[in-house]
Amino acid sequence: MASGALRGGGRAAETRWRRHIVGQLKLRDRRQHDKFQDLIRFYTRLLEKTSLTPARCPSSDSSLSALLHQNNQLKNTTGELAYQVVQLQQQIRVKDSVLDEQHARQQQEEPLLQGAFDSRLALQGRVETVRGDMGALKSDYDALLERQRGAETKLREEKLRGGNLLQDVIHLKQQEAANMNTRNERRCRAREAARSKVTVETSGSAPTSRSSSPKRESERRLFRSASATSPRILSSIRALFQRRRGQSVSSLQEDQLFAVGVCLSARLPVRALHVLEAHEQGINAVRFNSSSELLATGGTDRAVKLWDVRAGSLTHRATLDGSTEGVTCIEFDPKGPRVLAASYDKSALLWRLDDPVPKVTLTGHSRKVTAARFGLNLQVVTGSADRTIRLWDLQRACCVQVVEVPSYCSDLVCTGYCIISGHYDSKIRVWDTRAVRCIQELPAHGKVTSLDISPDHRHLLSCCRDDCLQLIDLRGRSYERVCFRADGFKCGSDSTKAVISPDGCFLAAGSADGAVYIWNVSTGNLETRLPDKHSTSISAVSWSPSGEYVVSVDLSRRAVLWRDF
Amino acid sequence: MSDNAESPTETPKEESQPPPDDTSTNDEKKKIDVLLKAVGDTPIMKTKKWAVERGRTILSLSQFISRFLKIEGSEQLFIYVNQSFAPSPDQEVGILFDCFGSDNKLVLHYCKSQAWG
Amino acid sequence: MADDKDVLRDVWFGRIPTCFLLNQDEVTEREAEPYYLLLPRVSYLTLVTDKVKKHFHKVIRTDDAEEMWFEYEGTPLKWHYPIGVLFDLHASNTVLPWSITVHFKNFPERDLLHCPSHSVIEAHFMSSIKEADALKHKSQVVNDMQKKDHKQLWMGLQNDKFDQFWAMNRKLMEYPTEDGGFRFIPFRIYQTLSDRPFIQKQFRPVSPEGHVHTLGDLLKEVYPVALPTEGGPKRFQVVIHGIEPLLETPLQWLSEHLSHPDSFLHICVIPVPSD
Repeated sequence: MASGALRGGGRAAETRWRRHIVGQLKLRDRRQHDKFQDLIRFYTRLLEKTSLTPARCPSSDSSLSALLHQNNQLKNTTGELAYQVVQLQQQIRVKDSVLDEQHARQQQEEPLLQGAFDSRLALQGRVETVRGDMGALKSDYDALLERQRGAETKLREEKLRGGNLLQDVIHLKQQEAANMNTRNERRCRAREAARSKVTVETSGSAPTSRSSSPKRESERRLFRSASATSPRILSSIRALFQRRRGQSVSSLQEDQLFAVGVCLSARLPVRALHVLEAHEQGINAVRFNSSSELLATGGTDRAVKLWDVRAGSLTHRATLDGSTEGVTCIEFDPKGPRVLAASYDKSALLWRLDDPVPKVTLTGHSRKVTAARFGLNLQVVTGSADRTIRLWDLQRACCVQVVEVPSYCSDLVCTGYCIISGHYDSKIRVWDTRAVRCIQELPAHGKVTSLDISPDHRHLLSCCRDDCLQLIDLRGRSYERVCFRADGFKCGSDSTKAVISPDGCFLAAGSADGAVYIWNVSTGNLETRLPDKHSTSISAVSWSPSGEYVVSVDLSRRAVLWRDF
Repeated sequence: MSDNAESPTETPKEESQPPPDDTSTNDEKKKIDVLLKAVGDTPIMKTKKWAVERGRTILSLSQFISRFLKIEGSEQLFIYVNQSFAPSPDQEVGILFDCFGSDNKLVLHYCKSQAWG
Repeated sequence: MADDKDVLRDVWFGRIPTCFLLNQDEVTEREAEPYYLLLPRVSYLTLVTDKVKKHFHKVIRTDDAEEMWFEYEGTPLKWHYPIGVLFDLHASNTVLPWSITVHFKNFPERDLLHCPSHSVIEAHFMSSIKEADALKHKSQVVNDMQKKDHKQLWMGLQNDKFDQFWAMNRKLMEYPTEDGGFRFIPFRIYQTLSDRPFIQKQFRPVSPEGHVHTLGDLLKEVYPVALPTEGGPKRFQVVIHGIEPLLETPLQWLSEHLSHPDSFLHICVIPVPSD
């Protein structure tokens, strides 16, 4: 707070008076303050204590004895306290020794602890490494697990494929077994035929070759005995060829040879032996069995009827039910007692001859089935209005192949690996079942209503809506065609069926005018005309394999059995 | 003790006292003018200006005023200089005149209650 | 300035060892022990002697006790003078402790002012400050202060709180730099030679010519007797707070640093001890 003006004088002078004052103040305090400070404090304290004393004095004066007593008590207390002190000191010593002991133990333990700590560290390190290993192993394990899963999946797939293959193998084995059975049966029959041939030879009348002279001979001789003996002769001839060809078991060749072997002369029918109303509605199909003893008819009334052909008349044997619509086509199994029919109800049905209930119903077509034929290897081939041809496995009763065709299929025949089909687009097509493709397309003159193949499989007959029969030569793939027409012959429907005679010399067809027309193949001329027995359009005719009978059926339920006398 | 009727100035009682042989005697004897002013509801004095000896104390002046105004002995009288502080009762008016007088006079306020701090 | 602050502290914490003795004439029940105290120089006797009163009340009949007053070697001690002034004036150069006789009877009405309570001391203290500020600043600083500021000054003294007191007192010690100091220096010069209480006059810290007034200048002006005559022996001591500052000490600085809490620079002029 001293202003600059005050300090304006010499600095030395200024500091002198200031120093003087400071020094004097210190000196003053030393003399007057510091020397007396403690003294006065002590005195005051002492004064306070003495001021307390007078208050106590009177009471102590009054009883000296009490004080003495108190003194004694205090002495006692002191003694007790001293004793306690001694005891406590002793305790302290004990505690000290314990403490020392514990210290010693602690020092002993410390290295152990250190060791344990080190080992713990080491173990921790190991744990880390093991953890790392475990992690690696785990990832390996995961990868393996993944591979196992993949392998299991593959195993399942393989098992499935194995099962499928096994099934196929079983199927093939079954087919093979069936074939074997068939061959065995055939062999049996051949042996039988051989035996019968011996008997025939003893009579010295059995033909041995396809010469014209035995043909003429048999014309006379077989004439009487054919009905009874012809099957046996057939078998014997087949056996003969088999033997001649050695041990060959080729079924196709055999069948063909067998057919060729049926060298019978068909006789022209002349007279109607039996006229009957066979069905309740129109009859669409008719067929003899291979022994010519049995006739089957199928009609719009949904029934297939079996007739015994005996003594110039037709006797009803059985009716086979099962079709829900009209029957369009009938065929006997050449290898067994079974009959196959095609139906308007989009199915084909197979009966055993002794069972009126169908054994197999083949369903799959989407429109009416127009034709059903036995093919190779227990197969059935059907043609349909749905523009497909289907191949069926009878063993499994299922469709094994579908062939798409360009047009409505009205009829078909089988020959070896070929299927020949007739269509509404005026085409006849030849299919190879192995390649499933059309290998030939042949023209016709109108809608093809029916097909028939000659027993020797060399000729094919087609019937068309232009009232023309056409015979096609299948040999040498030349497909030469010959047309057969006749005045008055008119194809009555889209399914009119014409046939070739068993000897291949004649053609027979029914006309819309109710007459049966028969042409001579070699001349190409109409051989005969059988009128007056039918009042409506004839739908189908059948020539017995023996050549003896012809049956014609019409749309007015009538069936007529014809013979040459 | 006698009052000079003609003069409004107070006649000092100490007049009869022998003068001290100190050199300052003249100064002490010398009178100064004091202006007395009442504050608040305190009665005013008809005569305000008084000639007072320098050596008179505030206490004696206060007693004089109380007597003059016939204020009860039990009642206090406060005297203030410069309307600011109350001088100590043993304070001499001469000193106050030297320090706080102006225009050759010392102005003193008096009142029956505390007026300034 | 660190030295100046130390000076302020030394001034504030100056103590005088004192022995209080009960007056022999007092009627007591038993002998009264003396009471010793270190008295603060800057305080007032009646403010710091409650313990003394209590101490002696134990031995006197309380119904006989009147207002306590103090006497040193036959001189009643004025409580409204600072303790340091009383000591320097009456008891300098005597053997310590300062022996004060305590009275409870025969109050010297002519010499002493009554002190019924501490509020009387407070009023006197505050009046001194105001009077001093009237000299220093024409009362401007103290009038600008609030009531609580005044209270802070008083409480600082009463409770011996140096920092509390100076936080406020600092303002009272300020002045415009261009003036070079206060308007007038509030001082009082005490002497033992005269009955008159003290000398107090208007005295500027700086001369009209711009010279800084010193303690010597002041004495030469208002009390030349105190100054040593040329060539003669030193007859008087000029004592402030128990010390003799050099006469060359600037008066303004003394006023700022060696004033008592009541803002006055109390100067005692005492004869040099004969021995």
